Amino acid sequence: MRIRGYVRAGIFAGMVTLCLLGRRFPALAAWPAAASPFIGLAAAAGGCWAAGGVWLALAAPCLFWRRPICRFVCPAGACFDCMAKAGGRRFRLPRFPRFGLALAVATWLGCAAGAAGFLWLDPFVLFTSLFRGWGCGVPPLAAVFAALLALAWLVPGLWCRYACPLGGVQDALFLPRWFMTRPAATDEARRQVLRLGAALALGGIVFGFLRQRTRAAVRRLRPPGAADEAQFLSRCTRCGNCVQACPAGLLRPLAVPPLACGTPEVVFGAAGARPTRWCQAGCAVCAEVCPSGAIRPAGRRIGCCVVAFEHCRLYDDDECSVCARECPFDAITYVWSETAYRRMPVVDAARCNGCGRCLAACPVDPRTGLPLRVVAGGDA
Amino acid sequence: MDYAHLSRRDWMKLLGVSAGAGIGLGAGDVLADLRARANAPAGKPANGLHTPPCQWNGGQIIRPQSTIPAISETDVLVVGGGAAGCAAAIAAARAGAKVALVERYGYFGGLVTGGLVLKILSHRAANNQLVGRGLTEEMLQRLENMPNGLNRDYRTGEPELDAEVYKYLLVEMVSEAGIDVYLHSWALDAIMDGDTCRGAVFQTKMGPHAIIAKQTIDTTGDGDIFASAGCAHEIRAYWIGLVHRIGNLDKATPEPGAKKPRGLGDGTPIPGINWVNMSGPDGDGLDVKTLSRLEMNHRKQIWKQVQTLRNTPGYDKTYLVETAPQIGVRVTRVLKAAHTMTLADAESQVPFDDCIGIGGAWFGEHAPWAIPYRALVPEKIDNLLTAGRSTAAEPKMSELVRVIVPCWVTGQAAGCAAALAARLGTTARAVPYAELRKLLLEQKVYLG
Repeated sequence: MRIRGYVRAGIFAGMVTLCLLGRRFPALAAWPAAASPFIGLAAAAGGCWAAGGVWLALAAPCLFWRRPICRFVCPAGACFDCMAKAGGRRFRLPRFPRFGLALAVATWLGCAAGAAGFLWLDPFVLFTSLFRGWGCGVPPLAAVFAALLALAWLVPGLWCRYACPLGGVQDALFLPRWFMTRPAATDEARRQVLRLGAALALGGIVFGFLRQRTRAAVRRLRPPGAADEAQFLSRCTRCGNCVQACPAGLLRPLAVPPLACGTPEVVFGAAGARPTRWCQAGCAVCAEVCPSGAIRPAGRRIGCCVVAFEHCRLYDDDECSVCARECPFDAITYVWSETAYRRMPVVDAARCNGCGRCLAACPVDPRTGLPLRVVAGGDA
Repeated sequence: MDYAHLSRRDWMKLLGVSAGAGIGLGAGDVLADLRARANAPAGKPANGLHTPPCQWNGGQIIRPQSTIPAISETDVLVVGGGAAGCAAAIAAARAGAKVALVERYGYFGGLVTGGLVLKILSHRAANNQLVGRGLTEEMLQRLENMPNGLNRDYRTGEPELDAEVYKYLLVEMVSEAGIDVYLHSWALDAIMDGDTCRGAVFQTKMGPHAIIAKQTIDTTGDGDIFASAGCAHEIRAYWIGLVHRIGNLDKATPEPGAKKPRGLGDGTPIPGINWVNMSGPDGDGLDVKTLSRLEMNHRKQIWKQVQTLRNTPGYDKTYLVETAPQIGVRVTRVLKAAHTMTLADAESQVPFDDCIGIGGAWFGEHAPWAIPYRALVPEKIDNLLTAGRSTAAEPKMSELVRVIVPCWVTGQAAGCAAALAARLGTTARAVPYAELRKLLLEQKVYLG
């Protein structure tokens, strides 16, 4: 069908344009990833309607048409199909259940319950991540995309038909499927039930394992407005939009460990150097570009500032009032101690956002040790 | 009487008459004086400017009304001879005005010299830009050419000066400028003619006297004159410390690897002598009870600290050179002027169309900031200006304004403006900016 080819090519070009424009206009950056109904449903369940809920427009045809996104829209699928055509080897597809839907369901349960999910396996996210975050190193999802390209070359259709969660979502949305009855032998019916059971069991095991790992996760500095750590790990699509968009360049995708790999971390500056940039009060670009609502405009702060007094100028009775003056939240005061006969900077944990302004302003030579640093969590 | 051949009796007669005459004259003098004092109508100071005592009026203490004698009439009166005041007086004198400079202590420099705040801050901004020029740079250059004037190059860092060297330099510069100096004079009140300030009244050992001026500059640091004049202002309670100096640090032999002891302070231009800062508790720097308590407590603490240092291995020869004669009050009254400077404006580098100076960064680490003339001018009262730490600024911004270099910069601006106003016959508020700018540029002030 040539028309399908042209439509597909056109939409692919449109997606690429949107991804490139997203680098320049943060308002557009969330659109490509947020268009996927897999992401959209997870985001909507959390109350986030990134890109104005454009995923609804894509989900509507799925109700009465079999996998329209795969046929026309999915840019990753377009790439995989090209690879499939180029590939020579074809293996027989073994018979095992289509677990794409199981992955999707496990992910949604994870989003609700605070366990890491598989939003990052969404093909839209995999594709858009190629355009994001390159300034901070190769995004981890590019490796996944490359692996799937190789898989498409080796075993065409394996990913798209069996594993892709977006494909599974489309299958589930296809209404006639629920009403169709297939005259099947009881053995076949039993096998189907077993397959479904195996898929759900697999999903459950993975879900439980990931939930366990999520709990043990190290506290990291997350973007301001990020959900709590468990929710964040489940909601973050690892798309790299926020890393790309942050005007202060504070976000880096984590490289290890496997569970948090690709999620954004706030890094103020190289160790032993004074940071030059900080999270601006009033800026919410990271929340604007997040397609799944892992980062919201109002939410948790980055962390809390703690003071290592022995490095502070006031420890040596040197005159200084820079950090209190620069703090946009008025979170620092200098408290006089009659017994020590000197003043000490004290951070009000209720006001501190962890924005890092004080770190950049502090005049102490970083080589001797900085008196201020931001730690994750709300407690000072 | 044969004076060539005097007998003993004649001698005695001669001596007696001479002594009698002397005593008589002297007594007459004293009697006359006493009579003059006794005859002085109530409230009128007699010869010698002696004021009548206050009267006990059944529990109320009444000061009899009196006419205050004016001892001088001048173009510009500068009240307070600290960093800002001296800069103002010298600038006004060089602009052609007749200047009277009044100071409560016996020396100039205020907190710089008396308070031992030796650190020069805010003359540089980002990219090593020197924003303190004019009188600032002149003083720094003269200091660096004097023995033990500065301890490092002001062009690339923040030096300390030596208080005695700077005291002498100010005496030299004030003398050069031909300023009328009144030391040991404590500012009492402003002289108000409606909403116009006509000078000020000072308390001296000989009683109060007034100086009448066309323009008055309040560089007391505490805003004593503008408060008396009825200008809107705010009073802040802030850190009050006491600086001290320690000596024989060049003879110290600290143990290698030992932790640095407390109270070593920073270097001064004199080898072996350091100055040690103190932040201090919050206090009202205008309240005598607070100041007295803190003077006592701070000296106790300094003594204790120095003894502890002497007991640290290697520091046994260290000794207390001096505690500052001026307690470290950082800010008290701040004028509410036509414009209040804010930190946000400074960080955004907001330009002003009446810019009279540029301030720098404490450690030269951030961009420079402009100072508008309106921040020195009271809202309602005429012919009165302020400069230095009482320049109108929000508390966070006062941290940048109160250090030495902005005091020099605002002082120079106030002096030029007052001289110009006196010359042109305008109020201080109505000084034409174009003329003021021209005068400031002639005095080599950096205006951006």
